[in-house]
Amino acid sequence: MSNTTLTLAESLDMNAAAPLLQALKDKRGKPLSVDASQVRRLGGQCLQVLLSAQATWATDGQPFEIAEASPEFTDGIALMGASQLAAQSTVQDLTQ
Amino acid sequence: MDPLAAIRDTFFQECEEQLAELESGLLAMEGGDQDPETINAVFRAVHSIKGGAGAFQLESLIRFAHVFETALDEMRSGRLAASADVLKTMLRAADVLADLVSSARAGQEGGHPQQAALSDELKAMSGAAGADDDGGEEDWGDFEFQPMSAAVDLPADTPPARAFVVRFKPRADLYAKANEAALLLRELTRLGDSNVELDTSEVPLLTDIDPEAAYLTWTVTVSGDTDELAIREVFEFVDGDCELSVEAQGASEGAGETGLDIGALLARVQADAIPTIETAPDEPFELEAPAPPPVADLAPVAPPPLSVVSPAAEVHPEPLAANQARKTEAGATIRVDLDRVDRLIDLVGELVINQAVLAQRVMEAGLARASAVAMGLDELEQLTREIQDSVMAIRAQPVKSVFQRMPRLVREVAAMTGKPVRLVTEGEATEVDKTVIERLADPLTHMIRNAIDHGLESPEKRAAAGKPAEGVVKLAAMHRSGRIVIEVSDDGGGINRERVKGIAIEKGLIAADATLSDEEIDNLIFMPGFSTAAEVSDISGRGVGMDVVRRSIQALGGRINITSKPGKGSTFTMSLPLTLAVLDGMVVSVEGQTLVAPITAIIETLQPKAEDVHSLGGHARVISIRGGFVPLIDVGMALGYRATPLAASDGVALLIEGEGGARAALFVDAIQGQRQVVIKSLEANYRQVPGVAAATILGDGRVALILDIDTIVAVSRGEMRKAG
Amino acid sequence: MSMTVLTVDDSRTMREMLRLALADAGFRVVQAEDGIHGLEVLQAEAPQVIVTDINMPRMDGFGFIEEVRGDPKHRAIPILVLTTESDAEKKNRARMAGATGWIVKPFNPDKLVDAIRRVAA
Repeated sequence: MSNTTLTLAESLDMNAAAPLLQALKDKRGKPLSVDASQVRRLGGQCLQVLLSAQATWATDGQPFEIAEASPEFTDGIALMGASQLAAQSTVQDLTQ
Repeated sequence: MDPLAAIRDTFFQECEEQLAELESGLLAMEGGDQDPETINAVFRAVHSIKGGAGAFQLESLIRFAHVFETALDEMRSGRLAASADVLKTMLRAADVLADLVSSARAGQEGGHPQQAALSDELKAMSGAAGADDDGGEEDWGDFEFQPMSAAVDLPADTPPARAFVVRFKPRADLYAKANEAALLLRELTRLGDSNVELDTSEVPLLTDIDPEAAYLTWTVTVSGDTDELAIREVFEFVDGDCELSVEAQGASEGAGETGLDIGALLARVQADAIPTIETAPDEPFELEAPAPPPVADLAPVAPPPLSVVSPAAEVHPEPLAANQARKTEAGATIRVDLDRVDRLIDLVGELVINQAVLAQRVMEAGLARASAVAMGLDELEQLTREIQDSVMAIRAQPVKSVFQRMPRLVREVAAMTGKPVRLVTEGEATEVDKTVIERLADPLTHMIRNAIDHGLESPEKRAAAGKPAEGVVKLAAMHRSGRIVIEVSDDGGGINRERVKGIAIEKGLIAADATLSDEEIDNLIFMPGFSTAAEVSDISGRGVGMDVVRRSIQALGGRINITSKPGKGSTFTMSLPLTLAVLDGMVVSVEGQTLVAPITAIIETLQPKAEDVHSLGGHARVISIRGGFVPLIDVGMALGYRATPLAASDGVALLIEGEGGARAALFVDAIQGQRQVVIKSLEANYRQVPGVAAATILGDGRVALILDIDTIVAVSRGEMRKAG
Repeated sequence: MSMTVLTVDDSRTMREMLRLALADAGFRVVQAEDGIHGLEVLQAEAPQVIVTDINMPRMDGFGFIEEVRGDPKHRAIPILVLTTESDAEKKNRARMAGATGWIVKPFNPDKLVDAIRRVAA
């Protein structure tokens, strides 16, 4: 059974928290791979939802991973001290 | 232009509008207006003036506006009743504010003689709440500059390399107000080396989580050159929307030592990468002048020092109806450079002339009136007229702007003469050309002074005549047959004709035995030199007589006259053209030239009989008209078209009234007719020519000069004196 | 791409000062004259930050903030209110209505720009 992938929206601001929650709820019960490579902005409320999802998947005994992350996403979780959400790979911005 | 200077100009322009709004609002309230939007607008006017004055550091203006605003706020919130006395004081305060604006505009910041007294009165009105708020000046004193990111480099009175432990737990409200924990953490970690720890223990599982609630708590250790003030400043906007504690730790017990800490590392990298937006805090780019030293005490957690505000401070919700009324009132507008409008008016003038030329050519070509070309041309003419009217309408403004200046004048004159006066205005929305409006202010000012000073009787006399003590001066504007008519009337005693006639005889203006109609006597007051020492008072004296008023009205192409009823009052009626760009003219010929005389100056035309014209020697002649003599001026001679005067029976005389009401007869060869002409400035296109005011182009394409009647009369007078 | 800032103020003087300060800082500036006008502008523009005055005709700053916060499309936009230091009551009312932060009038351009950068991502 292959992993389900959820691609996160660009802007994870306060407006994005409710739709994100719904999207995650819809994926529950299966291994989940989250693609954060499009994220330009990560806010506290979406972070809460992602942390909640990670805990929920752990409770369910299902694998949960952040497969890919944009530099902005990586910076965001570092800034907010949420290293448990660190991605397996960060999309490198080659222009830097 | 320097952008700040341009904004300063805008500010003073806006002040004028706000002052007008302020005054008309207060007057409306005095008249019983209880619409909450009226007091709101009044408050806003003073508030805006204060705001702008603050930006330009106009100290006395700020200070006075602040006190005034406080009193208005009391009134707005219902704590201060809008009684007649209160409103009187407010109106006087509005006058002082206007004066302060004028001096600030002129670059004088010296305050106002009545400022202190009125400030005290306003403060007394504001009562307890206002007294507490007496520190308005300090409020305005310390706004200057408080470095927001004080962290960048603060004075070294705090021991360096200390660490602070910041515990931060947002509430849902923080997010609801569009504040963001991530951004606050970003600011915080910029203050120094940071270690961020996240407590996720309160985060529920997906089934129970509210996506818009707040569950996270951060503990951030910040070390480096920072202090508690800078840290608290980061959280300034979210004070009350989060739990926050800041604790100082012993020196150099900082973060960063916890081995591999991505958060702190990243924060450091970021901090290095961020271009320093705030250069040095002691060199702020300021719109204002150099700032005073930063004020030390600004701990954001301390409740701001402010007067206790009673629950009654709720502003009344604005009624919907009033809102909607305002909405329609505030139509969409654009601001256009006046030069562009004038250029357009000029071009439309050309169009009108061109159209007339074309029409004439078509006529000459012998095309039938009903031909398609002629009919098309008629439509074109119609359209051209409409364009002209529309373009003229752009320059048109309501007379309100000049009417609005009068209530203050009335208050001042009423106070000086001790006569209670009520000013009634009508037709403020009547529109007329901007230039006409601008030039109306002086004559109107003089006439209203005159109406109160000379028109209205003293309260005792009014009582004796059974009139109410309060006199009424009415200022009204209306459109009447393509012109604007402005009336200034009073309900005073009317013209004392015996006395006026007496003065005129005494001054040698009329013969002692002259028989004059009532109307003629009333109009004697417009004669130059009529104002006498006995008449001149502090108020309407100043060496300016009604003759000057008449002259300025005539200069605008207008006429003025007076009607008066003994015991009932007098009415001055001015009739003015709606625009200065077109003129009603009498087209005449002189030695084959076509000239135009402004119709407003012409009283009548007559065919002189040889026996009525008398020579005074040289070329000077007079003509007898109904028993009196007026100079007969040969226009052809005056303008140098001919060397010898035309025989009296060969021409037509235009009886005109020139400067100061002096009469003369202009002698021309023939009258061609009357028509409206478009004025082209001769000065702009050629140069000033004595005796010629401007030029126009007629339908047949010929240029016709418009006569400057006053100059022609004045020049001929001089020659006549030489001859006599 | 430069950030768009919507300013809402009935005073021309203030509008010009705001424009000068914000344009100097490299922001794109759109302006409205009062709350109702501000809501109209929001139909066509998507500013990252709003700076609004409080005392305005037709719809004041409080009403405007409440409207923006009540609109799912715009509620996440940070709103800074222009207020005077002396007026804590207004500041508190603005916060209750949902203001993100405030700027003390007469504003210092640096502080204004700084405050905008603080609240905008």
